[in-house]
Amino acid sequence: MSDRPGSAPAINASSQEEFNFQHVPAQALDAVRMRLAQLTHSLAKLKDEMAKADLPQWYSLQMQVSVILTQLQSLTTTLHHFEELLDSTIVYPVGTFPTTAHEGLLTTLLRKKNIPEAESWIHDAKETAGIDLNTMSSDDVKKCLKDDEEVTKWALGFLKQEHSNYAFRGLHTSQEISENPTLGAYDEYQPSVSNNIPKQPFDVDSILKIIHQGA
Amino acid sequence: MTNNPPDQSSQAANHETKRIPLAIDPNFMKTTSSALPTDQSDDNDKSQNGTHQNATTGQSLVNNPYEMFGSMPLDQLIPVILQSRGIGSKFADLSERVLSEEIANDAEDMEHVKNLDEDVEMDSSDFPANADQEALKPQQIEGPLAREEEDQMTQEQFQQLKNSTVQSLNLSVNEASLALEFVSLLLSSVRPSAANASMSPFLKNAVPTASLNAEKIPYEKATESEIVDKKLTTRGWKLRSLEESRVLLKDTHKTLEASLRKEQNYWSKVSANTSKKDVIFKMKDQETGEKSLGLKYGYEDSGSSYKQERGIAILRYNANKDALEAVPAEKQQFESMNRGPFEKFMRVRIFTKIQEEDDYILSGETALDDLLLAADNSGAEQNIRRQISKLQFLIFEKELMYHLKKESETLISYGVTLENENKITVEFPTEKIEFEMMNLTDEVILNHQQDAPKTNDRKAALILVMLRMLLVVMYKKQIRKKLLMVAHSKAVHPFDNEALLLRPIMGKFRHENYLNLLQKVIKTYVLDVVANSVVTEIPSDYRKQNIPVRRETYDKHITKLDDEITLFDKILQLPRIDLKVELPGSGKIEFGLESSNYCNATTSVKLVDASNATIFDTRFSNFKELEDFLHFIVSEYVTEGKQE
Repeated sequence: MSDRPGSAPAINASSQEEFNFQHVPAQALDAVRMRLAQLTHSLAKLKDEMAKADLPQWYSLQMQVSVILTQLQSLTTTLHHFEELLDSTIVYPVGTFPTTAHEGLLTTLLRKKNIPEAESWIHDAKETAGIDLNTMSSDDVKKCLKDDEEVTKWALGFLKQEHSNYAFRGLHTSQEISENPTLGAYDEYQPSVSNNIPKQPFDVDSILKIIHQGA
Repeated sequence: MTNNPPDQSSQAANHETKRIPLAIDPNFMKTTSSALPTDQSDDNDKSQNGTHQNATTGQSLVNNPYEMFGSMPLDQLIPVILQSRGIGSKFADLSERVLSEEIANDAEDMEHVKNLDEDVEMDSSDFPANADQEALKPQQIEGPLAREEEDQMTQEQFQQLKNSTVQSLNLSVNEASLALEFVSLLLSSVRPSAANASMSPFLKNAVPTASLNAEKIPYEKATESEIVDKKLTTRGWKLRSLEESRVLLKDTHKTLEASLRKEQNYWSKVSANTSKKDVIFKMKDQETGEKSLGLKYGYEDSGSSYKQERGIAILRYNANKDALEAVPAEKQQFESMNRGPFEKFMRVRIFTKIQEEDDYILSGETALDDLLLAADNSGAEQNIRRQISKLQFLIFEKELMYHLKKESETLISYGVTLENENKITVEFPTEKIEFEMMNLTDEVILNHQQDAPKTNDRKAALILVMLRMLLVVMYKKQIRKKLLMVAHSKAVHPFDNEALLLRPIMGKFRHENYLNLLQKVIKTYVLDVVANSVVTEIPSDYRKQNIPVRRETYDKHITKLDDEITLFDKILQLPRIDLKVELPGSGKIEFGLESSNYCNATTSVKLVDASNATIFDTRFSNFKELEDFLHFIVSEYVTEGKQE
């Protein structure tokens, strides 16, 4: 697994001239790269914390997972955005790639097949879908999927509607707020945030003193 | 990686799962075929791949999916193997021994690589997770949800879950890093600086930048079957997520509802059962670790200085009984220290001495307080107020014993014995009184009414009531002192006038005995000797004198306390009695029997002659001396004078 470092710059320099990289989708790749970098970082961090003997607090974990999900979403959106471009781009090693020494690395890098785990998840998902392609005609399948989409759409709308019917914060119900809009205007519950809680809020002596002789 | 020696390679067709010993699992090479525009690289498209395969076999090793190896003729396969082993190797040199050595070395190399960079970790660690493990994987994903529904998770289960999470995380980190490396490497040709920032040191070291290139091919729209396939996957995932969300939401709803009901019950019960007279504060329940409310049932605010127990109970909600429970905060700690049961009460017993025998018979005993008895109806037993009253009763009893013990230490010379930490005995000439702290056990509660009433039961009960009242007086004095002292100084010494519990009561009994003795002495030495002499009790006015001058207090609380304390003056009075013996024609003898500390007795004797002149005025603390003295004065001044 060793390369001659001395030769690398030379090849590099010549390769820049030799090859025409105009078809490398730089913008798309850079966008993907940035999101991937974030995601990788978050994942690695979470992995490290999970591997520790004493786990972090649940809310910290939850927050990290939520961050990861957002980053994953962002990555998917980016990929989707560049889908056409990326799908019509094929990648190959140029001569400067140490194919012989790092053949494994090359194949690993260029791998497009899902890992077995992901494969099994997809398989699993298809089974859960409950549609047998062998027994159902393709029209039926399409119809089924279309119905599914509609139901999903309806359900989403319904959920939104339901969600708006309730007040999830504050001390009042949605109905109370709609009847009296001033109610929910500010947060009525004010937990004590001050750290300067007097150690002895009621000093016995001073209270007795007031009882005894007035303030 | 399974070793598949070359001489068995012809059989490989029968064993799909057997692997060719290549540096990297061919499973992943299938899609990395050369840059043919037609290569859709779809996983399921084996036949299509296969056709590429045949066309390109001779050129590039990496185009061979392992599935194809088995069906290859040997003349194609052998060059492939040789190529994979590097230039200059001979097929004839291959033997099982050499190969197993290599595998062993490979394993080491992999370890090495792993340390260098985790990105390539999957080469070694993830690839073994092949066909036979695939079947397990989906179960692992479902595992956590199924288990979460159980109320309690064992440590083992938790560990298992954690491990599977870490494993999944490893997987995702690997995949993400790999993707990042790939994208970075590809990008390095056009944006070297940006790409450099996200490439791992290992990759930078192993592969020069700009070593990947890309070409554009015409975009092919996804086929209908592909779209359907994708949609099916999406639908499957959606259904599964929905199902899991449903379960989660339902469980969460259940839990929330349960805890809401619990909270509601708790707070409504707290508000129904406590009043502004209760001292309630936030407190952590040491036993359950929950935040809770503490309730003070001790008498500290009432003037108690008992520090052995804090007198704080946790208001705990018992879901099974749907009731509040007041659990003393220290109970568990106390009992775990093996200091016996936490709940104790005082029992007073009176033993009467059997005449002519050096033995005692139990003649009186206090009954169990109603509070300690199991309530008749179960509702009352759960009543929090009753529980609090009981706790108050018990702590009061313990404090009583605490002060009694302290007081008894100074009374050893007056027949008070500290038998053990729970028992005090006071001996009188004819009887013996026992103060004992009894453990409140079920047995005690059940057997409380078995004994027949005894003659001294009432006396015992009165003694106990008196003791309790005296402790209340101590409280009141303490409060008054605090009130008075705060204005002057901050230092409040708890009970600097020590406990007055046993002594006033003992004093009464002892005084009675002393009086009997004195009267006996008077009878023997005066009345029997001097004819027509009469003994009378002089009503004394010392009580009035003893009333402390009412301080000019402008605080009605202090005045009230003073009034309340004054009520007990009669009990706390040092016993004293004055007797007068009229000696016809010879004046009189005045006796004063008093005690300076309730327990001792001094007798003053004052002889006044007929002319009202005081001849003797003296004091005795010993009745023997008194006898001698009486004998002397009577014979010297009374009978002598008469004889004359």
